[in-house]
Amino acid sequence: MLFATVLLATVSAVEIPHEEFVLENGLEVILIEDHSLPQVVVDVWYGVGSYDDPKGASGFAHLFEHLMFKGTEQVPAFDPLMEAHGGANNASTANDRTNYYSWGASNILELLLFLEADRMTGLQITQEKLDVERSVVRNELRQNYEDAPYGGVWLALPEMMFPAAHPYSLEGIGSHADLLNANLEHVQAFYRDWYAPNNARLAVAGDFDPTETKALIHQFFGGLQAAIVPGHTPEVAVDSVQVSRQVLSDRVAAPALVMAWHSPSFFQAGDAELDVLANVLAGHGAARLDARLVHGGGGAQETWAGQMSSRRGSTFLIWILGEPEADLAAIEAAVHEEIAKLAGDEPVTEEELAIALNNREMDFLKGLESLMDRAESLQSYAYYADGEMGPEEDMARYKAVDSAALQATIGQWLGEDKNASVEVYPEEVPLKDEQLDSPETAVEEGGAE
Amino acid sequence: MMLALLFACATTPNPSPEVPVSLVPTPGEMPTWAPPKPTVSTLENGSNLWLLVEESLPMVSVRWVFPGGTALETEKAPGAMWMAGLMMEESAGERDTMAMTKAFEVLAASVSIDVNRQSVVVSLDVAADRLDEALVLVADQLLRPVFDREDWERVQYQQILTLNQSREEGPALAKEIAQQLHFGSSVLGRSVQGTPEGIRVLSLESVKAAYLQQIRPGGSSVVVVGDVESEGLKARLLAPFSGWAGDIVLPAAASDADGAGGLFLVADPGASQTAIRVLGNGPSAKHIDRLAAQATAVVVGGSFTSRLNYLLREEKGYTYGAWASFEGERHYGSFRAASNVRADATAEALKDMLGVFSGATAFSATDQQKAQSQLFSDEVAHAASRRGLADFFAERIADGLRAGGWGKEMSLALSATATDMQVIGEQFIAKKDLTVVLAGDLDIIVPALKAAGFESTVVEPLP
Repeated sequence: MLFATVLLATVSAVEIPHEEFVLENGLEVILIEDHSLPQVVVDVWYGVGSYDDPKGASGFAHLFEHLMFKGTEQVPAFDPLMEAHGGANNASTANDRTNYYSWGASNILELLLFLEADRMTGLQITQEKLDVERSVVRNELRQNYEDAPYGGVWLALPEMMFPAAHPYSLEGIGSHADLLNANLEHVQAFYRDWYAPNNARLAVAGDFDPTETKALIHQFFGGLQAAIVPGHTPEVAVDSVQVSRQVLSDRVAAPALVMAWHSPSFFQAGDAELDVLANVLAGHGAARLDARLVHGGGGAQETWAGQMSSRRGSTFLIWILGEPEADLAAIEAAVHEEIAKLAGDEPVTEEELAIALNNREMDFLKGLESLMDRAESLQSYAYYADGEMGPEEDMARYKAVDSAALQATIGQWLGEDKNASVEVYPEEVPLKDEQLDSPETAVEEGGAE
Repeated sequence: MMLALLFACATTPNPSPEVPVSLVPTPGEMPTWAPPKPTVSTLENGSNLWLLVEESLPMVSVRWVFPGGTALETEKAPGAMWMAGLMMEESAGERDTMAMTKAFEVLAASVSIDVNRQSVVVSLDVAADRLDEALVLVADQLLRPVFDREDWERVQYQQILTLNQSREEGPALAKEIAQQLHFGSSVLGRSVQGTPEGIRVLSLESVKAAYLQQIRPGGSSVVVVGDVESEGLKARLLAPFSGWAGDIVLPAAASDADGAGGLFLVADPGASQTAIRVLGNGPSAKHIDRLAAQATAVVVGGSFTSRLNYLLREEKGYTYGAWASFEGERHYGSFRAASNVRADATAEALKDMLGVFSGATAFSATDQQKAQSQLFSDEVAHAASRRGLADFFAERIADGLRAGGWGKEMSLALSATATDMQVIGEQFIAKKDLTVVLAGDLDIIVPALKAAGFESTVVEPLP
């Protein structure tokens, strides 16, 4: 068949060559040796995320991520020391994990490893440091959500999708009120509970001598004490939304519609199918929703779809930016129709499957160029798939997707009565009476306590 | 294989658990590294070819670089070049827009057309064994765009909507107004993307005229980085483009800034943050001062612990981030700084920001070492991917820099001294004629600015 391609057959193997070992204190280590450039990456994942925010302290895991750069007894100024030698770093907090990554020229590997080990158990946070960083995070909330066009959507959606008691029910950035509630006791307890070598995995990638690097890892991390890591809040399956519709107004020039469904967890059955579906619906300018809504006079400027995979349940999202006078109800109906067609008499074509697979393969190839991407991929497989998966198995998931699998996944997850929708309108446009009645509260059967 | 399996998940003993973590390691000498040099030759159609063969992965990145960009536009048709770039991504050759998009997607080829102030760059990233098929499609985009009227009406409408949206956003407003106030009515002061009013009255014919002026082989360059055989490559690059001829005629360079600087305010009612955008002059990409300016920028605003970010974010908590940099293009350069600060802290943040600039006249040996090591890391990072290298080479071409000059320039930038940085700081940063634009809630920020002694002028959002 013309569309069937075997791009990755031209690569020696679908793999990321690496080595793994575990220290006695439980720290898992991944080494990716690559001498093509004189640079290194150090990437640490901790098994804690926004899911583990203390009760009444939404946004705490993310706030804590900021505090990890605020110094220890040995290194009071983490960033100044790293950057003085050309290092750079960043971090991110997701629902289920927090990562810290730094990079620089190969001569600073020892320093980067030392700094990560030092802050793994030696962090020193004062009230002053907490107050400043709290202020920084509240600015982040203003910049990326409150003042950002359509930013309110991302604050509203988690509450619409999950019951109030569910840890995924609040966006990881938190609320101003909860951020103001965070105190030093929270900091100490959170650090004690979650930041320990046996709740972490270290990946080192780049231009290093493996023997020397192993010795450094043993030297810096080997003496750190394992901790008793508490169990996460028990996982509760949620398969229905809590609030089916919200209408927001924002300082935007055009209306937008966001539709969200509960979907399978990372690497579980249906997860790859929904990645493929996202491509078929809105992955490119000729995808089905683009063809109908953008090029076919359906009232949209652009479309986007994505499977937002998490460890304890995911969300499948569709985003439509409308034209100023767009009828969002008609657009929403069209989206449901297009999904129904894929589940019914207009199933996915071979060409559509080939496009999705080809692009997935190209993304994998592009990822092989980057030390950071390779480290993050292996971290992701180890954490989200509990080590049961690698690049080859991952790619096999996508190769196995066919029309029947896609239809079954749609049938199981993307029912017309299973989604939450957020409509956003420009502030100047007065809301219609029926819109002001929102939010509609949906039946909450099956929700978490 | 078996050895690897044994290693996987094996628990290894800690050889020295008693070693205390007590001494902060001091890094040794920076590694040596020579940037890659592309070979340069000329194609029969007059275009220059920069080639770097890199065979470790089966991918190729190609960039077509056309000097000109919005500098080729007339004042009567602002935004025409930007729209030409958008229209080249529509129907071309025998394919309509949807068929064109699908043809690239089947190949998993990424293609984009970027219009800048001084160049247009067409980018292609594709698997090595699909290069020839992708070249045929790109040739249609470059040589045979249809400029279909139905496409035009949709693209024009969507561009107006995009520009209207950016007027709802304080940071975009402040950036645009700063550009306009600092550079006046020249091409440098105009929005690359045009204005909603300008795009509305633009004709398809003027957009096509802009395309015809710009997309010509004479004076253009092609960058190829990746898994290709150098033998026969020229023929592969030329075959789909047969019959393409003509030279790009560049206009005289626009003059530098004509703005006198000052503090300007634009209303963004209800904004919880104030967007601060600062614009001043800087060295052009071809000027020798650009190299020391790179080092200076690292210390002033180009890193997390830069003076600017560290003060405004880490010490004062006014912002989520603040940065400053020099941006050099072929004929002009600029100094830029930006931060979005808490509305109620606007006056204090502005005072601190200007304090950092006025203090950019003194640099230490520590600053010098930090700049040197950061720049080395940044330079190496350009070579981390084929796409990164292709983009970097395309930028060098657009800036008028030589293919083989990277190594020497890097070495000069790395050797910038504290005194060199001081000269740059005095010449470009510690200046009273910087253009500063604040977009925010005037009810909150005007009284605070007055109380702090700032004189400002309120300007309308945009003409």
